[in-house]
Formats: sequence, C-alpha cells, structure tokens
Amino acid sequence: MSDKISLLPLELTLHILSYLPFESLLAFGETCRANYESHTLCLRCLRLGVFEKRIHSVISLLQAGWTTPDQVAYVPNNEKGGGTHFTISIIQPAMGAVSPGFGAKSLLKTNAPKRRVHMPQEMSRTLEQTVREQNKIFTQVVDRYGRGLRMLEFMAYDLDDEGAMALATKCQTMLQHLALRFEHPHIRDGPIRPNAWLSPSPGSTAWNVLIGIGRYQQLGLCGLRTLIIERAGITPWQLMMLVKKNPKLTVLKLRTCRGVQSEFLDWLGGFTSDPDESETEDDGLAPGRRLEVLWLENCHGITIHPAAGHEDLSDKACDVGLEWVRGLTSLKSLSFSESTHLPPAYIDRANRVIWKIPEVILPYSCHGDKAGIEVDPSILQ
Amino acid sequence: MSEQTEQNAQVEQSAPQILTFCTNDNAILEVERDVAERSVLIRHLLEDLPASGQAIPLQMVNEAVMKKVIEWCRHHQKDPPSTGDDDDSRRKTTDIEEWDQKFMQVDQEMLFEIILAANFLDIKGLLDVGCKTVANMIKGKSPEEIRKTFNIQNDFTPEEEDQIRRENEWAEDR
Repeated sequence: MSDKISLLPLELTLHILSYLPFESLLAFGETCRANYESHTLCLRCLRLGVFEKRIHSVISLLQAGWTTPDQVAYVPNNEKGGGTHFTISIIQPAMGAVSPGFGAKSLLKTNAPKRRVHMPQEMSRTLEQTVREQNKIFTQVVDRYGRGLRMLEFMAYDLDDEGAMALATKCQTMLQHLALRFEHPHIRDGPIRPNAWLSPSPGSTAWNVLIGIGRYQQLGLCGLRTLIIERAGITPWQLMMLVKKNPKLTVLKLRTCRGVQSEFLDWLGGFTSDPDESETEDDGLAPGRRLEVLWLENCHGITIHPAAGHEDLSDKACDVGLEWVRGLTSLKSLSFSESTHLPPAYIDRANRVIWKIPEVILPYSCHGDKAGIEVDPSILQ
Repeated sequence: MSEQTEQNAQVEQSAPQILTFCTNDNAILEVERDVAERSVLIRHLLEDLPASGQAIPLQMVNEAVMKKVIEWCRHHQKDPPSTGDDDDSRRKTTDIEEWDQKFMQVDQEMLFEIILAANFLDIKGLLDVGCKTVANMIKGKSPEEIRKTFNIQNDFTPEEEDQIRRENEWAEDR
C-alpha cells in the first residue's frame, strides 16, 4: 500500500499541517523528502527572537506583544487566511559551546559548571560575534521556511549581510509583513552599552542586499505592505530605495532609524523647496501617497529647521520643515512619539490647520530624563 | 432521518426536493436537496442548471464514499453555513465533536477518500474534520512513528536525516 499523504494535493497537505504544533511539524518534516518540502511551505507567520539569555528574550517578547514567551509557543491566531502562526525564541549557546547547525540549543547556563567567580567579561562575545551568530540562526530558519512566509518578525541586535541575503533571496515577493526589531534597552549586561540602545546602529551594506541595489539587483524584497524597523543604521537613500521597491507599502513604522531625515522625508512627500527640481514621480504624485500609517519614533533628524519661534508662523506656513507631510494624502496615522526635537505644540497646530490627519501622536518622550529632552520649556506650559 | 425528511417536506411542500446522483461506479443515490446543498459545488451546480430530473454525475466519488459524505451532510444539515472568515478561530483547534470523531473512525483509505471528496465537493466543515483527524494522527509522534502510521517510505540518506535531526534539536530540547 502506498502512502496516502503523498497522494494528496499540496494544498490539502498544508491544510492538515496547519493544525499541528511546531514539534509535530518538525517531526513530520523528518519523515521523507516530499514531506520535508511541504513542511517548509506551511509556515505563514513567524516571529523569531534570537537572544543571549532567556530573560532577555522573555522581556523583549512581552514588550513586542508577542503572546507566550515560551521557547516554542503555538499561538492560536485569528489571522486571516488561517495561516500557521508560530513564535519561536532561540537562546544562543554559551561561548565555547557553539554547536553547528541552527541547533543553537536553549542553554541557559554556560558549559563551565559551578564557577566560583562569576566572570561575564571573559565569557561574553563581542557585538560582531553576537550579531553574526544571531544572523546565522536567522538565516537557517529563513532558508528553510522563507518561501512560505507572509509575515516575519525578527528580534536580535542587528541585521548583517548574511541575514539580509537570506531574506532577499527567499522572501522576495511573497513576504507582506516584515518587522526587524533591534532595540532592547532592557538588556544591560550584553555587548551593547545600555544607553546605546536608544541610538541607531552604524550604517551597513546589509540594507543594500535587503533592498536589492547595486550588484544585488536581482534580489530584494518587493511585496511588502507593512514594514517595521526598530533601531537601524539604514541611510536616507537606502530607505528611499526600500520604499520605491515596495509599491504596495501602506504601513511604515520606523523607530530609532538613522535614515529618518529630511532628505528621505521630503522625497517621500514629493516636496522640494526648489520648484525647478521636482522630486515627484512622473505623474506628479508623492512616492509616499499610498502610506496610511507612518510612525517616526525616537528619530532626531526629522527636520533641520530650528523649531524655535514656530508660534509666530502664519497659518499657511505653520508646518515649515515638515511640508512633506502634505504629500502623504492617504495618511490615517502619523506618530512622532519620542522624537523630542519637535515641539508638540507645533505638530499639533500643523495638523489642526493643514494636515488634518485622523490620528497624530505628538512627540512627547517616554524615557523621562534619560532621553535628553531638547524641548524649549516655554512650550510646555 | 425520516423525521428530518418530514420536516423538510412540510417546510417546502411546493417542489419535490429529491436529487439523484450517479457515482463513478454507476450507483444511483437519492438525496434531499437541502442535504446535498451542504456541498458548495452542488449548490452552484443547481443554480446554474435548470432542474432536469436527470441523475447528476459525480465522476470523482464512488458509492461508499458518497454514502459517508451524505451521512455527514445529513447530520450537519442544520449547521449554520460557513462563510469563510468567521470560522478561522475554530480552525486552529483540533478538537473534534464526538459525533464527528465516531464518524471518522474508518480505515485510512476511506479517511483520505472522504477528505478528497470533501475537497472536490467543497464541503468545508467535512474537509476540516477530515484534516483535523489526520493531524491528530500525526500529533505527538516521532518521525518513525509517523512513518509507520502512514506507511511513509523514508527516502533520506542517513547523512541527510542526521543533518535535519541536528537542525531540529533546538525545538526538541524543552
């Protein structure tokens, strides 16, 4: 008797697999080649966190609103389309016990048993090593499951060329929702200094790979509808290319991103102060006109214009420095949360008088004194 | 069963609501229209075709399977029709109600035939129950146990198998 599962059409096999918890899915994938293939296609939504310590992972997962901070949590989800939805958290193996494969076992403790003197300095990796390992694990997961994914969230310290390459090759057109979360200020004992979490990472060529520019022209993501980036060294030009390459993008949430500067934003809104040099597309519309949600949080280069004296501006020009917002005609939600160099009253007035966007989150700080508020106290009456 | 038929007859006295089907092994089956319309395929077929009284050919289904399908449709005749989106929440659980569990206690050959027929006839509820039943047969088993259950031929080389097992280690170590 031949095996019945192999005779089913792929869609029915995937339907069956959609009811399985992750361990059973892996076991099914180990049975034979055909089943391995189908098991790699059945993950629709994946959230992956790679951290050095379990406690780091637990807190980051909770902060991101990812339900169970269990190592492999099976999340019943009402996601439309009934895709299989998993949250996976991998703890990096202790230094000196690096195992091959994405068999990064969830070791909580180092392999050296009962050391009397705790020496975290000696045992810890450099930032580059950590990021490289995290991306190795990420790459192995994306290489295996990337083709079926519609939604992917990745939590670690940064993206490197290897991780970006995996995304750019496996998830090119099908992936619709991508979140890259690299801001974890609660981690105070890792290779990143605690206060460095709130500034963007250094620039990186990984973004070129992800976008598919230069010699990676054949690659790159192009089907995104939602993009969330938290703490990244992505440049204004790289951001511009990323948005250009993903014409279906409607939700863009950028937090602690280097590239959130007027160069990118003016382009997005099709605004130019020099009327001869039009930055709009051929049809005269702003590249960002389809955006419905734009969040620019904890970004401090949004405008170079000094905000002082904005009370004296005329109604017509009360959004000076942020005129690009006018070009984003579909916008329903705009956030400047924690982008504290912008005076809240100025944003509030500009929206009331000119933009009229249903939801605007004003640039108040959530970090209290730690964030270094630069707001003129006279504004906060 | 006869009670239900009577009820239907009372509700819709105007037309004789009995349809005839011809399965791929040339059996003729008579089914109440309400029962048969659990199948989206048949419902659409009837909308498009004027009632001719002729037997409707079902080339993908044999008599034994069709009888099972009709049995399921008759039991679930009163279920609210599924509209697609709203039952996604139900979808993720593999709980199966008792009657359906008993109904699905058939040999594997029949189980997979029912799944294929439910897919062909577009009966979402039956398809879900069938797929959940198979999923429950996979759940909690080791790869070797799954192979045994479904008679799956292991075509990995020992090296490949070892590689995959090593890659999967992180999920097993709980």
